[in-house]
Amino acid sequence: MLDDTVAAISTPIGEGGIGIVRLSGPRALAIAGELFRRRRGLTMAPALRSHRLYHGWICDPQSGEPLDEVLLAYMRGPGTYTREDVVEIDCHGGPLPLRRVLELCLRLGARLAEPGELTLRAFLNGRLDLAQAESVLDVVRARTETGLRLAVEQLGGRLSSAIRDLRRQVLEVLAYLTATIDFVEDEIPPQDVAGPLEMTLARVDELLASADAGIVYRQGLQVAIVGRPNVGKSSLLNALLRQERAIVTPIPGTTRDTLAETLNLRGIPVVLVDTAGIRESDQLVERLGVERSRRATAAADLVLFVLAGDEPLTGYDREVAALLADKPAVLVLNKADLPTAISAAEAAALVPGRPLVRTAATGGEGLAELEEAIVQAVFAGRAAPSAEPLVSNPRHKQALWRAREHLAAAREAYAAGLPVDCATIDLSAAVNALGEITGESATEDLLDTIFNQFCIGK
Amino acid sequence: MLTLNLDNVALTPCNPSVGGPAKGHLVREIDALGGEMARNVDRTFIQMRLLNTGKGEAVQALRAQVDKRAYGAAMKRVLESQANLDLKQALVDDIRLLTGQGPQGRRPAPALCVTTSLDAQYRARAVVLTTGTSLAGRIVTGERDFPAGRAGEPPAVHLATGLRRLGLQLGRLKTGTPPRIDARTVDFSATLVQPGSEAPLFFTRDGLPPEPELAGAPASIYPRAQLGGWRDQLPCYQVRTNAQTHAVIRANLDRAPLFTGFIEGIGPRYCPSLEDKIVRFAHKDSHPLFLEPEGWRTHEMYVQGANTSLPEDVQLALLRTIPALGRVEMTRVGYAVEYDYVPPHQTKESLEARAVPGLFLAGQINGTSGYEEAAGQGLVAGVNAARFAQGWPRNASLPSSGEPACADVLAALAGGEQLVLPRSLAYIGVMIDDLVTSDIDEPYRLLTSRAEYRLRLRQDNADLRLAPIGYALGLLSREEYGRTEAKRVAVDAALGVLRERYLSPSPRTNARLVELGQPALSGPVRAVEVLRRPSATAAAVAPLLPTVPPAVWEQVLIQAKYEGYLRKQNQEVDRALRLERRHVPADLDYASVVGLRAEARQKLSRFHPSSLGQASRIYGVTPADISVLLAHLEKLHRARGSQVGVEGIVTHGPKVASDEA
Repeated sequence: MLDDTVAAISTPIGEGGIGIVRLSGPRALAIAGELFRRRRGLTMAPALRSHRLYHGWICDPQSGEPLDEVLLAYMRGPGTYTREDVVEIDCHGGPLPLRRVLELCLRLGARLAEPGELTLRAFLNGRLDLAQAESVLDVVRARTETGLRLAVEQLGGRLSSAIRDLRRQVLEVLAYLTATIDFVEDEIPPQDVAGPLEMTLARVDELLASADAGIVYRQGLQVAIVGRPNVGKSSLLNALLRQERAIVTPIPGTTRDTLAETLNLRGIPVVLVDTAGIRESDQLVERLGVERSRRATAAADLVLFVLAGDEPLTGYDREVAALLADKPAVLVLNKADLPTAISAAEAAALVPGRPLVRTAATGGEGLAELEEAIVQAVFAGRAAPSAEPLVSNPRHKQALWRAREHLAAAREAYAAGLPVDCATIDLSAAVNALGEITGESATEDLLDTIFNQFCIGK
Repeated sequence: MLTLNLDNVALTPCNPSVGGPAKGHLVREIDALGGEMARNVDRTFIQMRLLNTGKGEAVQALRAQVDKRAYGAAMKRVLESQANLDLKQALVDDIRLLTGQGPQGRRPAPALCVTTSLDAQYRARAVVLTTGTSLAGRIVTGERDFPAGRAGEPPAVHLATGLRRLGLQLGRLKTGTPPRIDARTVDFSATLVQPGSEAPLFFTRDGLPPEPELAGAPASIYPRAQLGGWRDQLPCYQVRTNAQTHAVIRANLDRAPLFTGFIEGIGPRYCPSLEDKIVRFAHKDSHPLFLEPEGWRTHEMYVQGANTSLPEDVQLALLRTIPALGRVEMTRVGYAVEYDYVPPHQTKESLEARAVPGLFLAGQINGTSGYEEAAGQGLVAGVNAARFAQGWPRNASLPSSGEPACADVLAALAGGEQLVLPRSLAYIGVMIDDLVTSDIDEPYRLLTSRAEYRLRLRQDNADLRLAPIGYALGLLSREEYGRTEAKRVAVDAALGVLRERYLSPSPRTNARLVELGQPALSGPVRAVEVLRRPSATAAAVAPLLPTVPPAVWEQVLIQAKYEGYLRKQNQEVDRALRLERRHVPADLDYASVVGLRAEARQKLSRFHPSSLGQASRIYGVTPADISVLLAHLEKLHRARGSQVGVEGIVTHGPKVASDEA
């Protein structure tokens, strides 16, 4: 694992003047050579000398399309942070160009660095001393736990369930082919292989296309609007959107029961997630609502907890309040234009220590104060945009790419009449790549699928 | 060698058959390492087939029907002719570890004491324990059960207690066997004949003649016997269950011990009982059964596919619903057997029990099923037990290998370490690695799908993969090894020529290609490209290099066809080997590793992986955990002032002798 070349975005997430993509490892220079052009339109990469800064363009080597105008530095090991060959690419800031450059590096064979890996490499290559080792371990652990939390959150998401479906489809084809090999004397009814392969490939392409949108959606401060039905969550969302002229990207809800909108709140990219929206008259709604709030809260960097000022507090309100624990939150006492049924003290006691704002969303009152409270939460360091989503999503995308390549190879092997054992190698690789996203292990799942699907044991 | 019944060595108590996908690969590997199984099959088979012929060379496999009596008798003769081996019939009751035994020079003390049921005692430096289904075995048929390891043999009951006393934790598994029937009561006209191969096929390189008892006429009852060809063979005969069969089974499920809770052990999913198949696959209205002769001269037949523990009367009734078996008589009743095993997280990859130095385990005691799986483990356990007893001898003058995985093994052996075959080199390695890195809760069977590098692990190249190791171990003769190395050189040379040489689409070349049944060329191509065509067969391309013998051509053709895939797999292996070479100390205290997740900590403490590669295969250990572990190991190295760098070599194996000396 320490002999390959890794890439990572090395600057914090968010709008900035520049952002840095760093490559480290034996192929760093080779990859830079493939994607860096000194002048637009040139097809040849320049010969790079160590410790010099070069101006040029990052171009997609396949299409020739320039992605960003950059400054690039190559530093030959061992005189570098990791003691390996390092290439640093100073891109324009902003998540999009950085991400595209990173993805290109990954496509050219770099592996996305594990959390803390560059530091780990520096340590393992003797760059850091023993005392520093302890802090490396802390870094790896802290990042790992955050990563794990995020992974768990994403498992509830749409992308993950789509990938599970996809993986199951590939697994079924693989199970069929494998069963015909390993249980040759059992009766395995013939199945279509080419059709399902085409379908899964098309689905991977769709996911790859939508992964772009998904990644944009994950950039910025995640703000969840939670509260019991009919306290005015949707009108608050709409009011905030109307207030801000600069809507960045309107994106339809990521799940059927939530709605997400991205806006630029005084320069901070904010993703508003509304948990309202469906069948509020339904009997099940309370349970569903609490569950939805729980999920949105877990994924959010900041929570807007909305109460209706004109109605007394309910058990539901308290349930939602209990979800907040030590989450950064702003308490919104909505419907301030109507007769008050809750005192400020009563409301504040529900979630102690959080700022309280009175709004009347339909009339637009209190919105400026609410924005101020959100911005304050960010600048006071109470809430910060998660750094991990940008990392974890390209990871998923990279895995999807690999799955796509393996699926295409399997399709070709099968179509070319190559022996079945070749196609099964490609399909296992595809299942593994998809399993990296969902964290599922291949061999046991494969055997389970075979034994559930076919009557084995002649 | 102590065994329950000397007449039953190498008994095949279940299927009279050896090989099949992955299992046939194992037999070839055992042969390449100098083991006995392939030779014994070749002497005693009564039918041979090549399976998966249309599915690619990597998964093709030989499968043989053997003569049950001849197979055991031939193996007994091998044992009897083995120098320095004493055969004793005995029931082992206990194994104890004697304390206070100092080492004798480099060699460990004979610290194990084996006690038989007649109170005889044997002291040993190392013991290989292969209990099969005998350990606390219990046979169940219908509502009846009795203590037995195999029909007609007593179980080893006290030994289970002895193993627990040694600190081993035992688990319980179940397997089963179908009824045997009298061929004279079968209506063969209502069966489908499955003949053996028309072309010569052997597990060993050159084949062996049949044992004398297989000469002459077979039991006359078997129709369509293949006599006078490359080898006299008997066919198998297929029949099918029907709605009536299933009705009989359903009507008697209340008497099926599998469903009444009378059997508690977990059976294998790949070898379910007939009643299980009918319950789990209720929509299938028919299952195939295969009637297999148990031998050349016997009338007994094995009913493959009809594993059952239903009561005897139900077994007979269900068989008789099948037209060909309307008047059938059973000679032996099918049964289920429950037995104890030692869940193999307690076992090292040398197959030595971690808790009992010198005690090596092989076969069903490790949770596996199958003769081939047992044989593969037996070879590794036997080699390591011998090396243990000799004080892990070093040997500087071992052969070398250009193949990195093989070179690693040879270096380990030269350095006095244990024999461990990497997953990338042998199915035997895949199997043992699976055993020591996963929770085995059903009898484990080797499958091609368990081998991630299966394009490398073909049955056709087992000799090329493993001969240097067999020779290094002293199990393979210099002559055998020399023949394999000569083949390797010839294959590489031929491939080199074919890669260099161009074929141009001259009228003469094209006429020749068409004559050989090959499409004509439209432009100049490298000769090796012609080999990659799906239509290319050894016979068709042989005239390209007339001097190359057929066995070499076979290899050349396969290697050319798979070249792209093999290159990819070789790269994966190279990458993976770096993690495999990172040794993890056996005594590592995972509680002291800062940053491991709780699940990883628990799993790693349970399985004690020997390398980072092995750690990464344990279910529940993530790449992040591996990073943490890597950093911890590096820290340990530096704290010790060790100069072993990132590329440090795995130091396998207990250095018991040298530490104590």
